[in-house]
Amino acid sequence: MITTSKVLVPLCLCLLLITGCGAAPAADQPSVTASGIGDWPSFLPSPTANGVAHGSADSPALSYPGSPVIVQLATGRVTVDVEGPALPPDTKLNADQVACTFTITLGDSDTAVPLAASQFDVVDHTGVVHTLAPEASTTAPARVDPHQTVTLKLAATLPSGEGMIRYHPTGGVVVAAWDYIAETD
Amino acid sequence: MKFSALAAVTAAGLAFTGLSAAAPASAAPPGYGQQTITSTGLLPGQIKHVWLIILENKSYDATFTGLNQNSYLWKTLPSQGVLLKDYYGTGHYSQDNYTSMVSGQSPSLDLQSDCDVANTNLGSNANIITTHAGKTFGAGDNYGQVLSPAGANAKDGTNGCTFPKDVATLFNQFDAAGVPWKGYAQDLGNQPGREDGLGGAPGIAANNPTTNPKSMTPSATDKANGITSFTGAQAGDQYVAKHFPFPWFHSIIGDNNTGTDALTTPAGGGTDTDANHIASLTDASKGLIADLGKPAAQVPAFSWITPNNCSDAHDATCKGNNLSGVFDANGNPNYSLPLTTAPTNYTGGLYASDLWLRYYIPLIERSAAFKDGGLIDITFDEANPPFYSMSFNNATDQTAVANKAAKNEIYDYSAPTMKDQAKLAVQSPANQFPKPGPLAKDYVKADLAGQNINGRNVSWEPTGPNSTLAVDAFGNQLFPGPGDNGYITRPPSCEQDTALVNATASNCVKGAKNTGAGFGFAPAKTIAAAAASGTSTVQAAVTVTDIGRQVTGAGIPAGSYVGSVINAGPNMVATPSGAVTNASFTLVDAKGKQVRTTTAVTSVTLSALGIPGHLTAGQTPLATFDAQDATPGGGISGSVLISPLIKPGTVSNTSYNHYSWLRTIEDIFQVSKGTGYATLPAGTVSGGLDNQGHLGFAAQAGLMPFGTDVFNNAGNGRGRPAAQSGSPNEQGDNRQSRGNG
Repeated sequence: MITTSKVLVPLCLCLLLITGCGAAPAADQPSVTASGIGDWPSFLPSPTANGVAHGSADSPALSYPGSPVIVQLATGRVTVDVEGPALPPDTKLNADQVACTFTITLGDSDTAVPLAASQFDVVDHTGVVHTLAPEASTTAPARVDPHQTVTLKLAATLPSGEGMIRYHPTGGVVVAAWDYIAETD
Repeated sequence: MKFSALAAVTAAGLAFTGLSAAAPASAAPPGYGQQTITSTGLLPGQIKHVWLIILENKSYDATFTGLNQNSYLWKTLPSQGVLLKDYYGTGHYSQDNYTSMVSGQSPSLDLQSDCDVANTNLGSNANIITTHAGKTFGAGDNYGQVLSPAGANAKDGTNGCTFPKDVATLFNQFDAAGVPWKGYAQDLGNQPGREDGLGGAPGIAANNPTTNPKSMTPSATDKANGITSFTGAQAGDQYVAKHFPFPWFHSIIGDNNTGTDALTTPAGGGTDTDANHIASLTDASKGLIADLGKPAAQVPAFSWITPNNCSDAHDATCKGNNLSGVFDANGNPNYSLPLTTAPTNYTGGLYASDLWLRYYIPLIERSAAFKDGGLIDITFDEANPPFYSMSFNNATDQTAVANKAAKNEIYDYSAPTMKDQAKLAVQSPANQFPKPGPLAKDYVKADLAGQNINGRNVSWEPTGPNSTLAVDAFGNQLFPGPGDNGYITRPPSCEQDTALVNATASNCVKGAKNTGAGFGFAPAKTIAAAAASGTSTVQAAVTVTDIGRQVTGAGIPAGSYVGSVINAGPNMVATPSGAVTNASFTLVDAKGKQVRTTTAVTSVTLSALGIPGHLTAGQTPLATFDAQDATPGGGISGSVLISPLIKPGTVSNTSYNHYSWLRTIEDIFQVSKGTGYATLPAGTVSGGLDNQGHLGFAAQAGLMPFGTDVFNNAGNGRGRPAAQSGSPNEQGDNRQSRGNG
């Protein structure tokens, strides 16, 4: 049985390891207010545009499945979302390990973005990193072109409980992560 | 295990951004329960400006779980402040919550019915209760409450709506303490003759509750003048007086219909109902944006803000503008566009309130006044169930949205099965009824009560003298209480609901009053439907309350029933009459097994809904029927507060309600230090009932105002310990189904 405290402490530590992460760039804040009322207060988290997170190598975004991230790459922009994990229908109650499949959607890009399963991985609530592979009988598309939307399904056997699926398009630098829960109870 | 994904993500996100989440509240020290709490834990003057924004009719589980996909209020705003997970409304359906918030007065049926008959007086000063009963300021002590001259549990239309002058309000306390305040209402005054009374009262300026009460049914003259409703929105004026507390107190409007003889006079002069105190939200010189641009010292210390019936999430489809036209493609408000810009859709509910909040909250947050001890308080009047017409998706829907939201919900919800419905069909003895099924149990959660007394979360609130609770010898509830039988259906009253009573008077409850039973039981109906041949899914305008009804019609196999129902949304509707959700149901047999249509279906007939335990031929039992469970409150709506004195991302599980809120604001502004100590029938303006500044049921013994679990960034090292957040509730709490997330 996973408890909140068991999950959160290591997860938060993992999150803190991502340096420079956080909110949207200042440019996303409204530049014009109704009467020039004032600046954004420093004691509040910076707002994001329409609640959509922005992520980049300098400022990675934390999101959750179903909430897309607009990723700024060196070569352009792409919007990425994660759904899942989907579990097999015969998953045993309270199973410690479970076969997870994530559905990843990329679109709204303004440049051709190379794509590979190796650009995604999972860090579980204990801090262990897991590689992901294309779901059986599928292959990951090699890239997403402008005005194109592509979907890939990536799978791995993971511990039940919480974790993060991470996107690092150009190597080891994470630009976005999605907090997920693999529930088996 | 029910894990709170929201909490997890919030906590994780806070760590991610280098912010700190609130530490878990500590248990109260020994002996703490004996203290009477009269402090918020703040130093005097730490909070200088409050903006109270009140929204409408949504439960925590509708708003803060993803069920309605209102990401700004669900995620963004709680990440900036504190989410009160256990904040309760005090009654149903609306207006009683507003009057309770500002005066501590309890519900009575005309107010619970949103003053839908006529705006007459709710008694006189002579009806104020001046003696204590039971434990002083205990749950049964109605000292200071107004007893309806029509008596307890009197019918709608017989109690009156406007309190007598010696019932003081928070605003009178502000006057006496020299605290500047203002009430803003969106659309106020848009339609001449509709809300021209003092303080935004319904009708023309000559209307008043004493000598010229306004009937709430539009007259021929009203209609000729373009007024279609006083209790609901209309296209060019979505203000509704029932959602603005000021006109309902003679202490604010006075008795002579000029406003000059109100109970108190504002510190800066004028009257409580003049243009410096009651303003249209968008007024160019007196409105909110105009005020926010001023130096902090010139901004009202307390601002009450009532968005219109669209922007407050009340209407699922808006009658008029929902502000969607002033947002750019990225969802950001374009402040260079006029607020009258044509909307791009008419979708209401929590979609519309998110638009309103996205527009106005950043303006408040950027103001000098907010940065100088500001407090933004976004709350709801009451918690309607997270189901059809009150939510874009049902909490029991088997859809991706609803299933994901279920992980964040406080309560577990389950749709009834045919087996559950069969139990409701079993014949019961005379004047007795089966136990409620799952859907009634789902719905009655929206009528629960809660507050914190002496550091313990309790599942009750005082009912007051007018809407009481009692049961008969069989355990049947006799009266609707503060929760007003909100969303369940009671058995008929043997005396009042005679059209529903059978020949032997065995299907009714003797002595029951104001059951509302007439709204639940329904005759058979034929509705348009769409289904291909050979499918189990039928598209039709059904709701969860139709579950279990027998289905007949061309293409429908004999012995078919409405199984699970889905209402999925929101749709961005192009007109004010568009449907914001798509509805469908699964066709099942008497055992709940899916059956398939035999031909294409274009219409279906749903059976009549009857009284469980006492069905007649052709009737199926009503799934929302509940004879036994009390409806003591307004349910959990949740609330969000943002302030420099609150750590972003805080979550509190302490039970609060509108009475706690009133006590909090009274304490923050130290109203007891005011000059209003002239004797009233009960208490004084500044001293309240308890001589510590607390009015009505805000003066309950041991009632906890918002404490250091809320104001956790005050930096003064002062204050009381937080309440027993997340601790087991007091014995008798009936929230067995609550998750532990």
